[in-house]
Amino acid sequence: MTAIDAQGTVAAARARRTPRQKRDARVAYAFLAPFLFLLLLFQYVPLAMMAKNAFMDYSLLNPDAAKFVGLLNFSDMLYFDDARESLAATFLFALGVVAIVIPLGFVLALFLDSKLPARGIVRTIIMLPVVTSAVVVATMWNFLLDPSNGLINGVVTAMGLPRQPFLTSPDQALVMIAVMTAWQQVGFAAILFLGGLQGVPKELAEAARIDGATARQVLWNITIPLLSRTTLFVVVIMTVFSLQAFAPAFLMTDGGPQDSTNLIVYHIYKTAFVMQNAGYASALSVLLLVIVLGISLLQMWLLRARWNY
Amino acid sequence: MAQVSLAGIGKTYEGAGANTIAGLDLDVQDGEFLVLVGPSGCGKSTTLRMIAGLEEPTAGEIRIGGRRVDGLEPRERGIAMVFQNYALYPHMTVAQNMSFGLRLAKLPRAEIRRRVEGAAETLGLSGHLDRHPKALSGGQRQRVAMGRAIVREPEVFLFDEPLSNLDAQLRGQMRAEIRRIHDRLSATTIYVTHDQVEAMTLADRVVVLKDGRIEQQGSPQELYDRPATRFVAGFLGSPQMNFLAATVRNGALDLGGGAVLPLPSGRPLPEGRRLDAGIRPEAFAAAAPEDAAFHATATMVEHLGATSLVHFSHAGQDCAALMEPARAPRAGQPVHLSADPARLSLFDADSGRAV
Repeated sequence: MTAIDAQGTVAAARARRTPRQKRDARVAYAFLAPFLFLLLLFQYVPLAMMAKNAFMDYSLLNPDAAKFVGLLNFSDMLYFDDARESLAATFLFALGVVAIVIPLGFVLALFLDSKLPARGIVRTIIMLPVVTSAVVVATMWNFLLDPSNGLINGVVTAMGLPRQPFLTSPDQALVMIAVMTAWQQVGFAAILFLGGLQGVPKELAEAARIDGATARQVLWNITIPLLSRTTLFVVVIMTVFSLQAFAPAFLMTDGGPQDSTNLIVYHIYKTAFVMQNAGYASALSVLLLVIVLGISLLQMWLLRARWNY
Repeated sequence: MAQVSLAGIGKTYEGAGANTIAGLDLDVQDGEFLVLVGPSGCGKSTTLRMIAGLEEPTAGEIRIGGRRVDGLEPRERGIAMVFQNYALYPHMTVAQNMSFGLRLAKLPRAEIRRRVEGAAETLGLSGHLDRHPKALSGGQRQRVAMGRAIVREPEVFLFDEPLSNLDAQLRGQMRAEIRRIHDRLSATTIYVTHDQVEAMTLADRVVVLKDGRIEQQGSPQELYDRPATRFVAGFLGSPQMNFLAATVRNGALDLGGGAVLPLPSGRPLPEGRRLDAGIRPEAFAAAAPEDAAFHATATMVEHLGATSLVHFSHAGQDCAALMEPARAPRAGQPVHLSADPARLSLFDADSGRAV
């Protein structure tokens, strides 16, 4: 009954639209159409195919032999350790990236927000890694981290410390690719923080100073709380980005040593194209999609406007 | 004891000639309500911010209660400030906003409570202490901003155009409230505004600033009745004073267009001297055509209720006169006015200074 009422109201609203509104709507859809078409073709169609394949036993070498296996791929995820281990490495990686990027990005943003003369140059310098191809960055860091000839080990030994294995050690490899990714992303985080900082009215800091706050107390009591929304946004962006990281594992470590850097997207790639188990890879992809979606929804829920300024 | 004194205060912004303050001297007595007024860009807000410690003067010294404070942090100056856009902390409740400074000063909890509740009571905010600023109206936010200043029990209150974001009715209410609070706390108050009504109604003493200099200072009535310059005369008073080009001729004042007024008594002026004559709209009076000095046609009549503002043109100059509604003409009708020579303000045509 209510549904019918609601439909009636919608129909009435639609009938009340003026010819001009209808024309505007048609023009709007015409402008949107090319993009929507491409989005559908390259995003949603593959997504739907992937969702279907997640329930199939399926190989790219012989797609015609695909057969429906129900939830087998998903129960395999629980039965075998690979998904759990890969996800654990991926979350650890994401945690590392976020833990480095947030404080560093914030401090950089504070620097960029001040009136220092070198601001423009620093802004360019920290944005440069962000716009550089991940392949270039990974290759460069491969050189830097090379255990025998790398620049970083050169510095380490020059300081009288023992030479480090870096990417060849199961204990250090994940940390190193997290550091590298953080280095690449910190500029982006800083720009987002800077936007947040510049959105905080200057009077609030002034009022706090008059209220007796020192610079540190202003930062702690006013600036940081007011940037909580920005911070949450940066955390989510960085987490989602890290969950989708592929280049470091692919180009620097091949997921090793001992699967210590076997990030989930790299694992999916290997499962589909090396192991020729596209069905299982699709199921893993669905799982990743659900995780990322969950994080995004959580963010949207947490970002409901509580207060504004 | 909190006298505020500025001695030779200067402020120069890098690469900017305008908005500069040069050699400002000002003494504010303990418990005085001083209003700094002037058009935008005259340096009034900058002066206030220098007293607050939010900006540093490039010359001169500032003393509060005899103690030199320029170079000190705002928190070390014993001041509280109310901002134009309230500057309330959006993530704190009303109570937290008001108590922020006290908590930083590590006052005992009971004392904080006492002061916050006292201020809330005074300002009619008692029922709103747990709300966030977002949930308050403009007037309530303004009260919280004032409460935040009051609880700190400062020696000097600074107000930076605190009422300009409020609607007219609320502005009137808050104006009265600010004056009432001042009278109760009798703290030294420095209040910046561009609204001459606020200046007139609130101040013990008004300081009119122009281009970073003091144009004139004195009690509101003094400034209104005896403006030292044409600028002050035009700035204070609403509706504005009328200015007419005048020449001294045959011992009288020729205002052009056939209007001649006797010179104000006791002020002999040389023959042929060019002046600007200032006549307040209320200094005009309706007169019989044969007694009137001004004969014109009303171009527009604004009915203000108790009075009517009659606009007319005299010798090419737009003028306005306040008249009783019953005696006001309609637009297009002739209007005959006299003006009281005793209420005339005369300014040198070149320097703009009162003669």
